[in-house]
Order: sequence, then structure tokens, then C-alpha cells
Amino acid sequence: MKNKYIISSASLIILAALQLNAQSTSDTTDPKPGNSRFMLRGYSDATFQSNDEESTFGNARFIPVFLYQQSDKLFYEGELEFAYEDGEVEIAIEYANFYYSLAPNVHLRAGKILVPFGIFFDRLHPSWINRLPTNPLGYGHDGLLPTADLGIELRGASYLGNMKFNYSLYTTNGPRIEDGEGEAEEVGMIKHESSLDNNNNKSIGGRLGIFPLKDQSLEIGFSALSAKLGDRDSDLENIGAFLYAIDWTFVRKLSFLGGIVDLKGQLNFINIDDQTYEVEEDSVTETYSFTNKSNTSFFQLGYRPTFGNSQFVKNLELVGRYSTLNTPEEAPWETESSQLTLGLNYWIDWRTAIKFAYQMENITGGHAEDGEEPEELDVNTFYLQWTLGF
Amino acid sequence: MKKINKYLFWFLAFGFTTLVFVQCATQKNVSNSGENKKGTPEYVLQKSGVQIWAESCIRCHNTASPATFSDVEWEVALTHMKLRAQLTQLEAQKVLEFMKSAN
Ligand code: HEC
Repeated sequence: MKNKYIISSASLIILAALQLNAQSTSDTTDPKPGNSRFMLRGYSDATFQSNDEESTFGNARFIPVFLYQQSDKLFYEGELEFAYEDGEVEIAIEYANFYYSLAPNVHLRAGKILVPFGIFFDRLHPSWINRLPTNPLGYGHDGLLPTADLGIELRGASYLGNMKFNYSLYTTNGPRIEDGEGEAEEVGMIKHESSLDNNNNKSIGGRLGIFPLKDQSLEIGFSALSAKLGDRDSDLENIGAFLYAIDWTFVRKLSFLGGIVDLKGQLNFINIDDQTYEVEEDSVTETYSFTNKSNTSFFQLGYRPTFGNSQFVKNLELVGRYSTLNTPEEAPWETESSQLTLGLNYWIDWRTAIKFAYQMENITGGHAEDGEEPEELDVNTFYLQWTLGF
Repeated sequence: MKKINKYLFWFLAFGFTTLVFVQCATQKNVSNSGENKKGTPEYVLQKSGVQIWAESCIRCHNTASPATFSDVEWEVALTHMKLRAQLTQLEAQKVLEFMKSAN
């Protein structure tokens, strides 16, 4: 009910603004041949990985991005992903949305959007941007954090006094909860990529980024997302989730270090209302009750030398990333994991690189049964990835 | 604790919305042509396109040199970045002028 109200008033405001804007729009660009406002861009990558278990040319991906500027105010972006893995081609729409500029620094985005919860998915996940061949823990298409969703968003940037800030506020179909019927061992887990909207509640979220320094080298972001997870008319209908995150970016040439330092990171907290879940497994009903709080984080440091005359050295980049994931105790998906990834990249141009990385992962927990000690697993993997943006 | 989080969230959400619409209201009649300088701090007005390009375009990915694209392509790419990377109108404008002058 409350949500309906929010959404209808939001649409009214947007319509009013569109109306206001319409009066001053006469700037549709005239796409002459060779002057088209359409751009086909994108990237491609392939990864080789090797550890004790397997050594394989993992997957290859081709990811075209379509950009079209219809006028000064209307813009479209869409990204497809074709992935070839295990002999099969998988196709996905990563995002497909348009932007309408309501005012110079206020833009409406609608469609399937990358959810601006922190910085990783919205900004860093394309392989020509991500400094390492892997994602931090908790991120990914089946992770605990939002990736892309259907919805609308207002975003932009402006100044508060002397300080630049950027903002986004959105409402989307939102995540759902695993009730145990689909995947018993994931009962109580938040699921972001649900193909169906399971309730009338929409998730609401936002991010505010501030730039305390005048040269924009530092940005600190605060994100929050609130949603109801349960299926319509189910016992779990009223389970709510509240997620929040802090992210930071510091990128700057530091002459005393002779290079560009790139610090990025994000802390995420995922809090889901307490609930007792009953799951039928092999006709036995198991009851799970746990405090449903998880957290994940990553801390990344990159260094790119700029000293000396050797172009070879200047094309190198050293990267380290530490990442953690903690899920609820007593949940069947309980885990305490950490990951350290060290990488060396060679940049052929600004969007083309060969990346070498060594990842050390320690996973404790997982799906331990009653009375069993949680397993501890150490996995060390070597990665080689090439990525090319076009 | 959770209650406080929620209040904080609503407070922030309300704050953003108000800000956005105040922005909207004060700027609705200003054209998109870069004369929109109201509320922009002096130090930003004084920055050159090349300076904004050097300090801002490196924050997420490696910096693209102006030679990467033609004028028209830069228009599309920088509109994309304005929207996607949350540049202000003025920043996007200044960088575009620099790209066009140096490609
Ligand atoms: C807040 C992060 C961020 C900043 C700052 C940023 N970019 Fe980007 N840029 C991105 C992302 C993310 C993509 C990839 C879009 C995709 O493939 O989904 C991208 C893609 C691009 C592309 C490829 C073509 C396209 O539009 O996708 C160009 C060119 C580009 N950026 C130029 C710039 C320039 C010039 C600046 C400085 C004015 C800049 N970027 C600042 C995040 C950023």
C-alpha cells in the first residue's frame, strides 16, 4: 500500500517534470549518415584457470554495449552478454535502460538497471575495468548483493556548497527469499536475480557519494536498500531485508611513490528479519532458526608506475585485493570465507590487458550437517585473463 | 539498531529527494548549453577541460586519450559518462570541448 503510494506519486512528479521539460525541447539530433548518435561498443574476455582440481580454459565472453543518443535529453544503453562455457552459449541482458534528463543534473533511468548499491556492479565489474580476473566474495550472479533489476531511478551529481556529490534513488522489483522448496540448503538466503516479481512490494534504495577533496580523488559512498522478500500470501510474506554499504575510491598520482595509486573498497551488511523456516528434505521436516545477518567486504589496492622512460614498466600494474564473506551461524549455508588475490596486469592500451592473478581462498563452513565439524577448505587458483574493450 | 538504520535510511532518502527537486526547480529554465553555472563553486568553474579529464576520468577506469574517438563519438560517449558515471553537466561539457580540441 505504502509502496503503491510512493510509486504513484513518483510517477506524477516525473510526468509533471516531463511536461515542464517538453516545452523547451527542440533539440532532437539529426542523424546524418556517418554522424549517427548510435555507438556499438563493448568488450570481450577469456580466462584460463588452474588449481589442484582442474586446469581449464574457463569461459569466453562477448559483451556488446549499445548506446544511442536520441536527443540531448534521451539516451539509451543496453548490454548483452554472450558467454561460452562448458560447451554451451549463455545469453543474458546485463542491463537495458533509457535515461531521460529532467534537468541538467537530474536524470531518470528506467528499465533493467544495474543497481547502484555500492560501486562494484555499477562501475567496476566489466573485465576491462575490474583490475583482477575474479569478483570479490559475495558478488556475482548468485551472490548476496544486488546486481541488476527492473525499476526506475533518479541519478545525477551536483554541489553542496563547495563539495561535489552524486546521488541515486531507485525503486525496483527487488529481491526474494529462498523458502527452501527450490534449494533446501539455501533456505533463508536472499536472492536478487529473481525472474519473477513475487510480491507487490517494491524495494527502495539509494546511494549518496561525496567528494571531500577538490580534485575528486576521493569519493566516499553510502548505500541502502530496503525490501520485503516473501512471496505474496505466503508465511514468509512479511520478511523484510535491510542492506547497507559503505564504499570508497581514492585514485591519484602520488609522486613520492612514482605512480598512480588506486584504492577501492566496499563494506556490505545484509540484515534479514528473523524467521523460523521449515524445510522438507527426504520427507523429514527440518526446522531452521537463525539470526539472518551476513556481511561481505573487499579492500583493493592498485599501483601503476609512471616513473622512468620504459613504456613496458609504465604499462604494468600491481594489484592486491582482500575480500571476506560471513553468513549466518546455524544457517545451512553458514560460511566464513576470506580471499586474497594478487595480480599483475599488462595494459596494451587503456581498455586491453593481459591479467595474471593468484587467488588464495579459505572457506570454512558451507553446508555442514548436524554434529559434523564445519569443513575448512583452502583453494589456491592461478588465473590468466585477457580482456579487450572495443 | 535495525530501527535506527531504517530511520537513517528514510531520512537520507527524504534528503536526496528534496535536494533533487530543489535542483530541478531552480534549473528548469536553464538551457543545456553549459551556461548553467548557478550553484557551481568558483573552483570548479575555473577548472579547464583537460584538468577535469585528468583528474576525473581515471577514477573508475584508465583514462581514454582524446584520439580514441571522433567528435561525434565523443558526444555520445561523454553523454553516456555524464549519465552513467554521474558527471555534472558542466564537467561533461568541459571534457567534451577538450576532447574535440585535442583529438
Ligand atoms: C564513476 C565511474 C566512471 C568515471 C568517473 C568515468 N567512467 Fe567511463 N566508463 C565507466 C563504466 C562503468 C563504463 C563501462 C560501461 C559498460 O560497459 O557498461 C565506462 C565506459 C567508458 C567508455 C567506453 C564507451 C562507453 O561509453 O561505454 C569511454 C570512452 C569512457 N568510459 C570515457 C570516460 C571519460 C572520458 C571519463 C571522464 C570524463 C570517464 N569515462 C569517467 C565508468 C566511469
